[in-house]
Amino acid sequence: MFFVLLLGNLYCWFQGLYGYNLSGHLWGWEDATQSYSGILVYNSVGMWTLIVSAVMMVLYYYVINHPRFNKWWHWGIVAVANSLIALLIGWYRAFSDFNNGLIADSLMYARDENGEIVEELITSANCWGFGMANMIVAFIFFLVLSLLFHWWSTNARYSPFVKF
Amino acid sequence: MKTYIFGIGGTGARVIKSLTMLLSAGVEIKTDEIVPVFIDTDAAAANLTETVTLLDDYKSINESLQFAGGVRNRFFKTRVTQLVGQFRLNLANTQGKKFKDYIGFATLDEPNKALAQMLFSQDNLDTSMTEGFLGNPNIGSVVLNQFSQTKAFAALANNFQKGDRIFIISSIFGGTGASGFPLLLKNLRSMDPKSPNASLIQNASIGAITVLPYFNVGQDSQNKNRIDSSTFVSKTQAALEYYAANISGNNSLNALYYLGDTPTAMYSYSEGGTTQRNKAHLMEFIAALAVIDFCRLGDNSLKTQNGVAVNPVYKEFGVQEDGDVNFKTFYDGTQQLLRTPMTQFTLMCKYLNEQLDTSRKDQAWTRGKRPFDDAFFSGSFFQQLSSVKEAYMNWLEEMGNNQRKFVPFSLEERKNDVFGLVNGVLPGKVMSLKSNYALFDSYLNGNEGKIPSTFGAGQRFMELFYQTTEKLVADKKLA
Repeated sequence: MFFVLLLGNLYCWFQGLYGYNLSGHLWGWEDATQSYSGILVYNSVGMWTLIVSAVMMVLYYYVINHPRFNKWWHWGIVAVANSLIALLIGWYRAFSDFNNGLIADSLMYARDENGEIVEELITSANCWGFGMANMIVAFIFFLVLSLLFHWWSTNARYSPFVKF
Repeated sequence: MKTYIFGIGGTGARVIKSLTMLLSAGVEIKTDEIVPVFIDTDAAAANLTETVTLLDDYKSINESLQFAGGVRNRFFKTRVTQLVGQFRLNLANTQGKKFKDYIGFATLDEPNKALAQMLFSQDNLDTSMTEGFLGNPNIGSVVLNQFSQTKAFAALANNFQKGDRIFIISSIFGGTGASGFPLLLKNLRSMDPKSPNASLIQNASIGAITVLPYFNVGQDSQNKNRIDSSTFVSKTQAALEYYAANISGNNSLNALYYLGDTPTAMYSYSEGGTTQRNKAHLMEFIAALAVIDFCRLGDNSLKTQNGVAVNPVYKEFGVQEDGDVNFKTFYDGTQQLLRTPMTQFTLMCKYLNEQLDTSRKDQAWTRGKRPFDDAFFSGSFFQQLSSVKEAYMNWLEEMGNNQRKFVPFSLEERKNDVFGLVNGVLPGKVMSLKSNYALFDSYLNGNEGKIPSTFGAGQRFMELFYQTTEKLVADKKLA
C-alpha cells in the first residue's frame, strides 16, 4: 500500500499549485461510489514522468555523452527540457479529463439547493497548475537518477557534481 | 645489454639528439640501455648543450617511469645511463689553449719545430681549441689521442660487460669527428691489456656511422673563412682514403654506415661556441636510425676475433624517390619502425600544446580519486615533459624547414582537422558524434578508469596518453 500511494504523496507536496479538488480527482474520486475507486491518475502520470526522466538521463550521460556537453549548465539544459516535457504530460492528462467531463461533478462545481452551478471549482488553470507540479517532480526524478547513475558515463560523470 | 654511443663533434651531438627524440617517442631499439658519451673540445657548442639538456630531461622522465607489470607505455622506455658528468668526455689541456701550447711548440728544439711547421700551418698552430678544431682534423688527430687517459675511458673499461656494444657517430668533413673517429676506434681495438675488461672491449661489437657532407657554410663576415665548405669534399676524399686503409681495410669495425646527401642547406658561418647552432637535419635523423639498425643486428653477424671483425657489414641508406621526404618516402621497414610511435608522440605533443589548457579545467580524465591537478602540472615531471615536448616539436619544425625537407607531419594548429596531421595519410572515420579534440578527450576520459590508481602521477599520465594515442592512431588508421 505504501508504494501504491508513494507517487501520490509526492505530488501532494505541491498540491497548492493545482488545488484540493483536482487532487481528489487525481486520487481517483468517483461520485457514484463516493470513494476513491477510480483510476489513480497520480500513478500513471508519475510512472510516465519517471520513464521520461530516465530516458533523458540515459540520453545525457550515455547517448550524447559528449566531452563538450559535460558542464553543469549542460546538465541543466537537459533537466529543463525534461521538466518542460513533464509540464506538458501533467497538463495534458489533467486537461483531457477536465475537457471530457471525467472529473466528478462534486469536485468540479459548487451548486446551490436547486442544483445550479454557483462556482467552478476546477478550471483549466488548475490543469496547468498540475503540469507545473509535474515539472517539479520531474526535476526531482532527474536529479535523483543523475546522482545514482552518472558514475559510468565516460565524459559526463562529473556533471553536474564533481564530488557526488 | 648496453650500447655505448660516442658522439664526436657537432654532428655527433645532433645525431644523438635525434636518437633521443626517437626514443622519447618510443621507437623500438634492441638494447636495454644506451650510454651516450660526447667528445668535443667546444664545451659551449650550442648543439651539444641542447642535447645534454635533452638527455638530462629524458633520463629524469625515464627514471620516474616503470615499464614492467602490465604497463603498455613505450614513451621514454629505453634507459639512458650517464657514464661521466654532463655525458662529456673531458679532454685535458684544451680549454683556453692554443694548439701550439698544447704540443709545447715553444719548448721544441729547432728540428722538431721545423717538423711541426711542416705538418701544421701557422693558423693551425695559433688555433685556440676552446671552440674545437675549426675543421682541421690534423689538429684533432693529435689532441684526441689522449682518449685512453681520460676518466670516461676508464669508466667505460670498468663498466663494460660481455655482450655490450659500441657505436661511434661522426662527420667526415669536420675537424673533431673526422680525426676523433679513427683514433677512438684504434684506442678501443688496442686497449692496454692491463685495463679492466681490455679483452672484452678489444673484441666488442663496434659499429660506426660516418656522415658525408650534407650542408654548406656561408661566408665569414670578417673574411677569415677558417671554416670553408668548399674544402668539405676534398677533406672527405682524403678521409675516405685513410678509412679504406685503416678502418674498412683492416676490418676494425663490425658495421660501418655511410650517409650523405647533396649539400643544399646553407648554414650561417660560425667557428663554434654558442653561435654554432645548426638546425636539425634529415641526415642526422637517418644517422640515428643507423644506431637502431646496429642494435638489431644479431651477435652472429658482429663477431670479432683478436680485435678484427670476422664479417664486417657496410650499409647505406636510400629512399624511394627524390625530393622532400615524409613517411611514405621511406621503404617499408623504416616506415614500420617509425610511423606508429612518432605519430602517437606527435599527437600527444600537439594535444599538450593546443588543447590541454582548456581540457584540464573540466574533463573527466583530470578528475577522480587521484586527479591531475595544478600541483601535477606545475611539478617537475610535467615541466620536464614539457621541455622535451618543446624540443621535439622544434626539432620536427627545423627538419621541415631545412634542405632537404623532412615533413612527416603538418605541425600547424588545425583544430578542425586534428587527425589530418600525417602528411600523405587520410584519416579513417570513427562512428561517433565526437570529432577532433572532442574525440581525443572522449578517449582520454574512457581510458582514465583503466589506469591503475596505484601508479604514480607521472606514470598514470604517460600510460593514459600512450593508451589513448595508440587507440586513436589505430581507429583513425594513421599508421
